[in-house]
Amino acid sequence: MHTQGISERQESIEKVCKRLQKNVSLQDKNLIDIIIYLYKIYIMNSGFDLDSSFAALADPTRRAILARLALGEATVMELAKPFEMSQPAISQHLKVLEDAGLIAQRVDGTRRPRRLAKMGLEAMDQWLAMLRKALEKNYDRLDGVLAEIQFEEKRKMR
Amino acid sequence: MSKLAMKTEGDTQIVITRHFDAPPEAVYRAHTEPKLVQKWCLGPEGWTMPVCINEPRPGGKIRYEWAHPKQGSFYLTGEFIELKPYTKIVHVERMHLPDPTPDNHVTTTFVHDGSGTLMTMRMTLPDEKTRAMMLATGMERGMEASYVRLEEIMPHLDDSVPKAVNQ
Repeated sequence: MHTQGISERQESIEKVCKRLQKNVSLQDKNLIDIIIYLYKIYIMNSGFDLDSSFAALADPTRRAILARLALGEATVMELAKPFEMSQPAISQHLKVLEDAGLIAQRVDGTRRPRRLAKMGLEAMDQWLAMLRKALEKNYDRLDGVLAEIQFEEKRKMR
Repeated sequence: MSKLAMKTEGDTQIVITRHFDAPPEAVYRAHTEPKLVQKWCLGPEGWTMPVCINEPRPGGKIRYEWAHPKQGSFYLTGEFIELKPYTKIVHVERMHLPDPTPDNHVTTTFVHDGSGTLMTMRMTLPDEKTRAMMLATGMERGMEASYVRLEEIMPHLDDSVPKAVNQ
């Protein structure tokens, strides 16, 4: 896998998405969108508990819960309805999703509506750290280039 | 100790400062002459820049292509907006991975700092939504792991997911 170029990887992801889109009805297109969205979040959070996020996604009920939350926040009761599952069972799934950092809850009186987590902040920090590392390397090399330039110029002046 | 300082200003700006032990003339040249840029603007270890086009005039083209023996290649394009020899460069750039990332507006200044130069680079990124896209394309290492894992879970999605949603 590591020998693949970025463009090949981009192609392979697109292939996977197309394959997926072919096999589902229009109704489920929203789910595909949310999976693609989630996958993008994983990229941003690559340093951070990727495995638990993917483990959370491995279950079809949990993916369906995410698809539902993509439409807007919902309570445990609202989420339990279409699945013919008990509320405790749904709560268990919600806990897994929450631990993976995929959803968050809000306190609204006695209600605890869940929504998709916003990961923008952590992602920004990670991106900045990456940028910083690349720039530090660049400028350390530039120090060497500048020393060369000055050496050349001094030689010419002599 | 790192000589590089980096801070964010407001929602969309990143300011990077770095001192160099060389006069602004030399630092400016190293930012504009392709042969010099190719020696240092390489990011993480292992990358080279086989193609470097820099037309240092307003409207002039920028094109950097990077290559890695194992990771493949990608490129950046941009345009110069304003240049004041030895003190200021304003340009816009975007990565192609291969889809272009949103435009990044960059103003770089070089001022005398003792016997050397203080370089300040101000990057103005687009709004939060666009930035999120940038983040999504920027995490190269994570992308690898993500693709592998996504492919692992994808085959299971076809049959198992729609059931729950259709109800």
